Amino acid sequence: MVPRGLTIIVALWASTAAAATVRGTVMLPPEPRVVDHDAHWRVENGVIPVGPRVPDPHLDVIVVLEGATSGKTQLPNATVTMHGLRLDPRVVAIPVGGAVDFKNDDRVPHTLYVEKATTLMPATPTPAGQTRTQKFYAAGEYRVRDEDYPHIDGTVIVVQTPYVARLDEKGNFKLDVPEGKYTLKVFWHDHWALSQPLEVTAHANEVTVQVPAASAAATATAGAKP
Amino acid sequence: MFWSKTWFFLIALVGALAVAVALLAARPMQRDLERETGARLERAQHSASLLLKVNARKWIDTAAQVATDAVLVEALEQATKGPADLGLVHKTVQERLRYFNDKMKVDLVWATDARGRVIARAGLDEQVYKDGIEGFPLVADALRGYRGDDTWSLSGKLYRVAASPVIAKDHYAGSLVVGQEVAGELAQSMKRVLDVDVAFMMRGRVLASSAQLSMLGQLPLLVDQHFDEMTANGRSAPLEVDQGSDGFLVVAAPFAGEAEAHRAAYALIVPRRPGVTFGYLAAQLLATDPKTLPWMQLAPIGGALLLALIIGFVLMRAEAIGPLKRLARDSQSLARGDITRLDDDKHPGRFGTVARAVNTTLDRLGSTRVQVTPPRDGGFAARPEPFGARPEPFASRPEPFAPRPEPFAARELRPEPFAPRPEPRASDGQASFGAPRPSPTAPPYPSVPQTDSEPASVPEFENRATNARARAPEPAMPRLSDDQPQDTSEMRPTSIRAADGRGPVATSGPAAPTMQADAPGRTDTEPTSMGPDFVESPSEVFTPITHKIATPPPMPAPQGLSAAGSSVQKDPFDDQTAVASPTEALLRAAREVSQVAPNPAEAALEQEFRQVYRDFIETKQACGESTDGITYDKFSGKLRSNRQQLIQRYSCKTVKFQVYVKDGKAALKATPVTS
Repeated sequence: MVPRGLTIIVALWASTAAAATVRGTVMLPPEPRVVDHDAHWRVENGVIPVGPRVPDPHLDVIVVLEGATSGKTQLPNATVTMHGLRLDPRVVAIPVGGAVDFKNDDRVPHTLYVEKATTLMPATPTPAGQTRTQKFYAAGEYRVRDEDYPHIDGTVIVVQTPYVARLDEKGNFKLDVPEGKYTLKVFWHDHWALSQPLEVTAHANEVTVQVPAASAAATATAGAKP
Repeated sequence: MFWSKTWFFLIALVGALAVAVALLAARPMQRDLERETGARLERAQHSASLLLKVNARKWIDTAAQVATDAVLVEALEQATKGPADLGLVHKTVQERLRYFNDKMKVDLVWATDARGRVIARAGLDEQVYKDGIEGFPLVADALRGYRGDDTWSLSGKLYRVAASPVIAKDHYAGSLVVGQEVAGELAQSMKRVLDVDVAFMMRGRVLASSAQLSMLGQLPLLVDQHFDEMTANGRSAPLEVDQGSDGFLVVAAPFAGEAEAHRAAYALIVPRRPGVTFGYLAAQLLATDPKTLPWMQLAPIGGALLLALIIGFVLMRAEAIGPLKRLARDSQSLARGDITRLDDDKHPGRFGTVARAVNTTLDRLGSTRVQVTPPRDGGFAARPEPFGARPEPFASRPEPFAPRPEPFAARELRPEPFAPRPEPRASDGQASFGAPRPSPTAPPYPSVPQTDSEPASVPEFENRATNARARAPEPAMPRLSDDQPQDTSEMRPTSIRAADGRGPVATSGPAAPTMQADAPGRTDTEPTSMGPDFVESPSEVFTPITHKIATPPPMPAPQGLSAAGSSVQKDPFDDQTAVASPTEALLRAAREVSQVAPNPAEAALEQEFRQVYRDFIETKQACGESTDGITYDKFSGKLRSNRQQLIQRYSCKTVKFQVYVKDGKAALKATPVTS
């Protein structure tokens, strides 16, 4: 896969003293070659080229602005749907004290649990068609697994800020935040791949960030699943 | 002897070392066998991994082949587009899947559209469709264009699955999944290939196995304990599992794919070899084809062993057998009288020691002469040794150094070289005296009368040779047995007493000649007991008995008993013995015996005294001694007196008196009897 360079132009729009909009683009390094499963064979068909990954890896990237005092204190629960024997979205970010609704749209029950924190979220079956709500009280990254289907895993990011955005297919994001000094952090491949300061003003607030290739290498080394 | 002993000791040492090595070699061999078994299991696991991989590839190719079915492609293409009637598409696809399922004999065939939605199933969950399975990495990859395999856990069962994309012209129309349950059929096929038992486990339970082994219940826990090692190394080390008396070696490995997270694994099992023992090694050796043995390597060992034995026999012959033969020859010569001494210089080592000891004994026997002094009691002295309690070294084997019997007369003319020492024993605590033995050249019956004034009253103590007892015959016993039962418990060899001591029978006329005829034979017989000897000079005169003895009688082994046993045989002295006429004194004594008191004990004692008296008179006559002045009253009074003294002194029950010839003179021996 040819590495893609991405230039992020951050325009700081003139804004009111109360809030400003931050637009940006996150350029990702080439996808690390991560083995989804360690079976014997995985070969191309030899007839037509292999298609892109589904769902798009950009959808699993989370951008967070931390630092300035937030006016938002009340956020709705994040929702993770279980369908097709997978979690959608696979990565979700919530503020401290927030909750996640795990909705089972599959025909089979799912027994979700938080890895290394089974006391927080024990393995409890969620029958088909039902929803399981789980609240998270401390900042951190929580990996959610399914006891019946080991390939199912997702990540719940609990952060100290409500300013969280998800990339679109082109790697763009948009956040409405108050003016002030922030730290821009990018969560990618189950780890914080980028962290840089960002000052948000009332004028053009456009930012372009490049996730270093070393992060991808680290991801590949760690074997994290995309 | 030194070198032969040392040589055989070395051979024995080498043999012991060889046996020890053979015994100890079993332990490292056991370890080697177990290591070899473990290596065999590891090789089998490697083969099993390859087998599963090749088998997975076969399923991938099968899925790819099915995915090219035109009906499937068309149906899935329409299902992916959406507007088509999904129910109709489902039926169409399911019919095709069932057809392929019957053809391939698989457990599941699933078909999805391009979004990962199941359009139809055949085999497992046929009634379910329209659910998404794109979450399976295998399906997700197939939807992108990859062919691959995986292991799934579905409804508590383990499946090996393969998937292939369904390609419609230039895009992907869906995916097709085929799967086979991991069950006993797979275990059997693996066993046929690997020649080891196979078992499959998942989530702490055994799914299937190639054999119903007793140890299967231990496998899930064993796999769970070593699962980290298995995932890190691809397999576990050979694990020992004991179930009762059975032992097994197990190598476990995880299944590749998603099922690994369910701790799905397969185990290869072989029974442990029995303990390697010496018997096991011997059995293995015996079961080996002799043609395959390394004879060229064994030949030097066998040659060395044979050479060692030859050297040992040569040394033994040189150091032991040869000298022993020489000593035997010299001893026979000594016994025949060809030589008077053993040349101890000719005999090396301990054989020389034996020769010197023999020479020393000969010297002692030939030179010892102890003059006897009269005891203070005036004629009787007793030795403190009870009757029969003294060891008799030569009693059990008559004349061990005289290989053939010698003429009786000739033996009398020669010293008895192997007679026990005549010295008194220091432990006796009494005044003991060695009686002078006849000189080797002196006649057994000296013609010169006893010149001592009271030679017979002098008590004499002598340690006589007991081998003489063994060869002493009981000439009169056979004839006595015809008339009366013989009391074999008595150890007295005197046939005169036995014949005459029966009272009325002895008093009869024919009995007297018998008694006299036996007397010469007894003169050659030495007393069995080592009691005190005494000699008295009775005043009565008996007719001297002349005798000619040419051939010694056969030598009975146990003295008294053998004499009784020989009572039915003919007396060997009958033809060589000149029988004297009974004397008047003897007949009178016999008549006196018949008039004994009614007291049985006293009568027996009186009879014994009379017998001893007759023996004594007869012996003196036979020795050419004068019997003047010897009367039965004086004689029996002396016997009673001495008997009483001995009983008081030794607290014995009774005293046995025996007549014998010592230095050509008649002598009496008193022996305390304690039992």
